[in-house]
Amino acid sequence: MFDIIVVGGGHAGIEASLAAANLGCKVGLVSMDTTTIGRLSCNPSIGGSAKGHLAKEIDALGGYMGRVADKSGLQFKMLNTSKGHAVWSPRSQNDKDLYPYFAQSFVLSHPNITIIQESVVGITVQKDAISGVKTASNELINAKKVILCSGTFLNAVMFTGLKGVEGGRVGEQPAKQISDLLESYGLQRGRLKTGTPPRISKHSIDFSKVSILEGDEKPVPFSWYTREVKNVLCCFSTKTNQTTHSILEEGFSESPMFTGLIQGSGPRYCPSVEDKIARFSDKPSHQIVLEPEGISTDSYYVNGFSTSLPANIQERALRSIEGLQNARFLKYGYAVEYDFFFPYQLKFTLETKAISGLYFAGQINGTSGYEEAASQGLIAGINAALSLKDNGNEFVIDRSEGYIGVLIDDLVNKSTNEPYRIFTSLAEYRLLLRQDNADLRLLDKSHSIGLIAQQRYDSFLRYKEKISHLSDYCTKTKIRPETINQLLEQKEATPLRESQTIEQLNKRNIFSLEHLLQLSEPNAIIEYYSCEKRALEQVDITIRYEGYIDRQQKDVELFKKNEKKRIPTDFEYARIQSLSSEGREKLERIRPISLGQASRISGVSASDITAIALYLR
Amino acid sequence: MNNYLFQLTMFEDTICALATPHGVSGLAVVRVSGQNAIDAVDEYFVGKAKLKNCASHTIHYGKFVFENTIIDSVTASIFISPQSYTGEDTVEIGLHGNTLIAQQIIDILQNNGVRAATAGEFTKRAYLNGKIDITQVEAIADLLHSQTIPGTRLAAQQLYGGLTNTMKSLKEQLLSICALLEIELDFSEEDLEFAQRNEILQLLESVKTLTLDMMASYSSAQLYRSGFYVGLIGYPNSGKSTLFNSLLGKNRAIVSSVEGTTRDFLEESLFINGFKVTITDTAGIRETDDIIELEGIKFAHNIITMSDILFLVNDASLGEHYSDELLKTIKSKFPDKEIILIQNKLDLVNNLEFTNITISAKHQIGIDTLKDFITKQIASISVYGNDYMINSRHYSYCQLIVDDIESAITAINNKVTTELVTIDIRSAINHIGSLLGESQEDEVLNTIFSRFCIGK
Repeated sequence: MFDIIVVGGGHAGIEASLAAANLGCKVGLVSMDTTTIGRLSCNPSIGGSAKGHLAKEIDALGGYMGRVADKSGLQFKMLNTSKGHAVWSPRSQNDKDLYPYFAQSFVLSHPNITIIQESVVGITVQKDAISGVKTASNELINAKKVILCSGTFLNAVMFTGLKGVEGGRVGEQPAKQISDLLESYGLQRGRLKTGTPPRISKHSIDFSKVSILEGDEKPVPFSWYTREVKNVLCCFSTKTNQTTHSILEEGFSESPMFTGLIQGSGPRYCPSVEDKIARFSDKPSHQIVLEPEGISTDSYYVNGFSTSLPANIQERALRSIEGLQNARFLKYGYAVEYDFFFPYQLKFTLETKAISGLYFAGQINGTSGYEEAASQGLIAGINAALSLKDNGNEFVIDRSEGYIGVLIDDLVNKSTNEPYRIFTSLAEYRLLLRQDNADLRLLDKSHSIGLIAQQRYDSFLRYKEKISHLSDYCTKTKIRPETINQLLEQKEATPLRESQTIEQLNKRNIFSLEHLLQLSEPNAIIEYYSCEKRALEQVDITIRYEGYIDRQQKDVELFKKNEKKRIPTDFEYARIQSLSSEGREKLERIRPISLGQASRISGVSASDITAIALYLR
Repeated sequence: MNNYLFQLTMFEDTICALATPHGVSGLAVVRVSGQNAIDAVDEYFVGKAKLKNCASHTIHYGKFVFENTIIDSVTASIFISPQSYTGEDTVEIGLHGNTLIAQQIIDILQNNGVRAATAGEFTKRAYLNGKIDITQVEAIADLLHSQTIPGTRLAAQQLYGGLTNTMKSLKEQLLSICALLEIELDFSEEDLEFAQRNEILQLLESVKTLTLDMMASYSSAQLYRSGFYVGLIGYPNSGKSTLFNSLLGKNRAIVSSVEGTTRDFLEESLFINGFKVTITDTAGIRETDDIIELEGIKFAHNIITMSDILFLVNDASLGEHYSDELLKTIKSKFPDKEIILIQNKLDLVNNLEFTNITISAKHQIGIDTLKDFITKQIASISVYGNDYMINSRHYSYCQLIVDDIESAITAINNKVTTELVTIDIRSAINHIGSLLGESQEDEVLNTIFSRFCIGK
């Protein structure tokens, strides 16, 4: 008898298992093929715009994705540094062999986790509550809670051209019966598709004809646990041309999507190359990035060339691209169509409303992306574990606390009809939810339920203390005109008439905070803080963005106020005639707990909300 | 929680109220709305047919009878849900215009399970039942309170969604700007072009101009809503009260040649070309130690602030420039006020070479010229052609929207990073939402519904 059974060893399953195990639960991790645990089935990379934020938050919640990415990283780059801090986002290229190796080593070495190589074909339910899972070899595994992280494997069909093969990844079997079974319990499912580009051999790339994409000069790790990371390899870029586009168009008649073989919706934001040229026909070319898949492999991932067209079209099209004239295919691109369950059927803990004790995480909820999956796995794992404890507290991150909160709130309230990907624009309080302050936002919360080792928490407290000392110093310490005016004049800036604090001067954005500290006295403080760049960065950002940060914090207060305006769980929406029919249907289905939540449900209009507000007064 | 339950039961019941003003009138109407409206009235209505058997939008003559006593002969107009003002079953009982009769009928209905409506409750129900949106609620308030004919017309247009449509189009424009910037933030490293800054600035400028236009129409909306205010000021005994009486065409103010006769202030209205014009007579302004009169002078200051225009009345018999010092003082204190110097007591002066408006209030000379002047002033501040009417709530949100947009424009010009610009634009979008009543804020709703009297 396990406390918790986790089905699936992808990014969601790993975080779910480890979080629950760290909270003291006996966890059984069931995977069809345990060697595939932690595989990077699509691109060999972690992070990226907004996804990097998720990876940092996972680390602040005691998760593993950042640690594994650091250990298996080949190249590290902070994206969007030309823009403001809110949209800076870390990204790494990873070794596709080392990533699962380190992920597995965490899972295998955990005393509370048992790995079970089996195919799950069903769940067992007693009185609307989960009681375990049934395997293909007809064995029953009992568990108090079950977390389903089945990825793209539910009723999966893979397509290359018009040829459809059952399976969730090349060479792997799909999970069939379980999806029908869940539907029989009243859960509603839909169909989605995702795709992956071809992999080609390193030796067939003409590197003289492609441009180099370097990593950062000073690469920064994702995780608190990692001291430093190094750039080992780099990426290369090239682009499609008109010839490429016309070859691809020839294949449209054999496209599983354009011919209607695939019905599921694809990700609008990560489209296949055929989708791109069909939808943006006026664009003469699209960028292609060649990403190495590892040190011990010749395989390169052709980012930007996701396709499910027939193999011969893929070959001809790719070979029309500069530098890829002799490309040798190691694996063709393909599309996968799979079942997902509409996420409005979930609670914020990711427990299904239909079956108590059954949790869903990852692509089964309609999301795409490793980071999105891992975030959900973590939240499901934590909540499944907490629900077994006496007080039964819930662990929910709200929209003002993190991207994980934005992600889950969107899933529950807006559901989705296409693969959901996180974006910074989805976060209302974007300036507050930066990748650089994930620990400041979340570490107290994760520590309070026991997910953070004391040593790490102590170090965090020291870091916070440094921030408050430094920011204190900046508000109190003044720099005299005679110290700085010459420098100001050199920069053609207005000189000072009287002394100004470091804080005031930093706002003028002329000198770096470090420089200002050096100008101030005593000099000792520099030596002290120069070794803690992160504290310096926090103080710098807080001073510089003060006005905007204050505004966003006021918005958060309003948000929290509306989250506290409770709607009774038995509220009869039918009584308010003025509700739009779509609004009423959605409200009855989701049963929001607060007016704030109600206002975010898709299909519920602003006037619906006003009507409820008036009713509740 | 108790409050919530109370509201719930409250909404299911039937309400009634006198829908016409109190006092003696030709006709009065008691309005009954709710599930039981028709049955409740049927209990006491004796006519040719039972009301519940009658079609919607029909009127029936009969008697309102209580315990074998005829209370009044009445008409009952039937509106069956949802074809009524509130969206519920409604009966409007027309009776003779005596408040006592109306009160009896209301009391009788209340004994039959009908509850007295609270202020604005009929309109609130209309809103909750989806008959009207929030700007339409405000338009109804304007329609009820408007003091001018153009005002009632504008409010009627707003009732058809004038303001809502204008604001929604502004919101659409801001959303499209926001989308351009967001694409840049989330995708630029994936080979998408940057949004053109000058294009975005142009769009922002156009939204700002539109919002400022709306704000500019506030003064005319105020004029339409409340009418035009003329304040009479001047030194004691300059003839303000005489002018006041002449403008009104009746003796309202006590007139004497003793300085300081008008101790308080007097206010009267007349209609000029469909506009209500309110004229206020103030105490003369001078150094004085009379406490009561000082009080009056304090009022004078308030009245100056409230007035759309000030007539400074000069006693020309004491010299053309006798009041110049006062004019200067007021101008310096109220630089934005339009002040018209009027030379009075024309009859006592031989030299008629004044550059200002010259009148004799006492002998009714020049009074028509003065009225024409007021008409022209009204025309100059009223902006026709809008199909919306801005109130002070709208005005303050418009101000916030303009602030947000100006902040965004400054940010773009200063090359501030994009994600900060989006904070301003998103804030403007939220403010439009609040203006349109898309907000859960209690204060907004309270403010809106506070303008209704019982029966509407």
